[in-house]
Order: sequence, then structure tokens, then C-alpha cells
Amino acid sequence: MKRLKILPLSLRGKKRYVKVVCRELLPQNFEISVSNSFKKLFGMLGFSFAKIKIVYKKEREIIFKCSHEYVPYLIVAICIASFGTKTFPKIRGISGSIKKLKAK
Amino acid sequence: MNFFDVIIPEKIHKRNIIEFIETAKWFGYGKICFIFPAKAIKKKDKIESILNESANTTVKTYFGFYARKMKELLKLIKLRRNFDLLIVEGGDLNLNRKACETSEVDILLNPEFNRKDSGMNHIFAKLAAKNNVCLGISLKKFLSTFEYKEVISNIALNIFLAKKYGMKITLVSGASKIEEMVDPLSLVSLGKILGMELKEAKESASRVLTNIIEENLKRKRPEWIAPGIEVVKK
Repeated sequence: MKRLKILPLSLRGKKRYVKVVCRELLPQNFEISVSNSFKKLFGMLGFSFAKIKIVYKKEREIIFKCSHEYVPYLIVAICIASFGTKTFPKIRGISGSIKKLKAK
Repeated sequence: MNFFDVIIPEKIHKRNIIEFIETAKWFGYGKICFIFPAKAIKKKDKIESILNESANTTVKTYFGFYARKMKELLKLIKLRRNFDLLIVEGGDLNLNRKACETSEVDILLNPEFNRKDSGMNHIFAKLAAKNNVCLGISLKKFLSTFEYKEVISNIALNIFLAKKYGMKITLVSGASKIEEMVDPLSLVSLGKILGMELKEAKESASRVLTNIIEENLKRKRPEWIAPGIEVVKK
């Protein structure tokens, strides 16, 4: 099957990476609960425009990728997903490149 | 940035308060204020001793009281010099108005709580701006009511009125359990979503409350008489 030519950088939407560090171990379905709370609060339209993806996941760290306009929305969704649990997620950093973010 | 949070603990236990302080340290808060119900004013000395014992070098602690009824508010106003912060939990229209009219009150927390309207109008906002009363938005109350119709739009309306008439805004977690504490950046993000600029949202989670506490610490001194009036020794 023929693949589409990749869009040039100038035509792609801007993205940001959000690094989250937890005090306890990350729960198994953390990313699912984040996307569920995002959909509940901002709807399916907001969820599709936000383009949320998980780039990197470790025991206590997780890196989300999303559209640069939807960073505050994602942070609130993370907060709601972990509200009332002892996960205590902390936003370690927001950056345009993974290399910089991993160093934080 | 030195973030500030307001916590409303369920119990006055040393262990509970130490856990709150440790969690605040993990999230990077510089200062936290524990708010207790008006009934607990009798246990003021106990609260002070617990906070002194659990003092931490990185997180500064303060304490205050909240009022839910008019009687409680009038009682707390009389004893205003004995504590750092006075909060009125909104909801009742008369109480909201009284809070806006009283300069001893520091924060009017969630005036739209349990109401179909926003609990505040342009007159309240003007009065509050004149008497230095802040509009407080508690994340805990937001999360417990955001599913209901028009709650978010009412909060956004209150923020709009506060911005227009020069009323200060504070964003707090209002946690009653340790699990309800949140990262300060999520408070800032919530403020941005609800219609604040990024700089305003950051200030409302940090500098606004710090300034209020500094002003209140001045009030505790015996030389203080009224805002702007002090006894000066020659």
C-alpha cells in the first residue's frame, strides 16, 4: 500500500510534551483514567483536538504528548484522574522536545 | 515561584498535619494555611502548638478559620486579631453580601456553591474590591459540582466580574484529606481554563495569598489600629 508523503514541519500542528512524576507507583490504567476524565470535562471534540498520546512510561514517570493549545486542559485532566488517590502526580516539566524534558 | 495553598483538614491531629506538610513539600508549595471550622476557635492554643511542633524549614504554615453561618462570621470578626486568615464559605446570598461588606474577611470561597445563579453580581464585586475581599475558587468544590448544569459558567462569570471590578482572585485546593492535595500547576491551569491570563492565574495561586497574610500579620501587632493607621513611637 502506498504511503502518504509526510507533511512538512511548518504545516504540522505545534505539540508539547508534559512530564508527570508520581510519588507512588503509577496505577495500571492511569492513561485510560486521564483520557476518560478529559472526555468527561471537555468532551469528545476537545479530546480529538488535543491529540493526546503517551510517549514514555516508567514506574513513576510518564510523558504525554499533546497539542500546545491543550496543555492546561491535559494538566487539569491528570489532576482530576488522580484526585482522591494516593498517586500524587506532579508536573515536572513542559517542553517542545523530549530530549530537554528527559533531562528535567 | 512560591506557591500558597489553603487546606481545610477534617481533624486537628499532629500526625495528620505533618502528613499534609510533607505532601505540600513534595508538590513544591512554599506556604500553606490550615483552615478550621469556627467552632475550633476554642482550640486555638492547641492548633498553634501543633503547628509550632510540626514546623518545617521549607514549608511555612499559618492557620485560620472559616464561617458558614452569619453567627459564626460575627463571632470570628470579634476575634479577628487572633488568627491569620478568615474565610467565608459562600452559598447563602446574605452571607455572601456580608462577606463582601466586611474588611475583616479575607476570602469569599465559592459564592456559587449549591446555587443556581453565580451568587455574586457587580455590586458585590465592587464592595469586595473596596474592602479587599478575595474571590476564592476551591478545586475540591469545583470537582464535586462540575457535573451539574451551569456550575462552570457561573464560576467563569464570577471570575469575569472579579477581573472587571478589581477584585482579587485566589485558586486553592481546599483539600480535607491528603489524597485531595494537588499540584500547584493544575490550579494555575484551572484558572487559565476558566478565563484568566497565565500571569494572573500564577499570581492567584501564589502572590495574592502571600500579600494577604503579610497584611494580616501586621494586624496582629498592638500598634495596628485600622488599615493605614498605626501608632508610631517617636
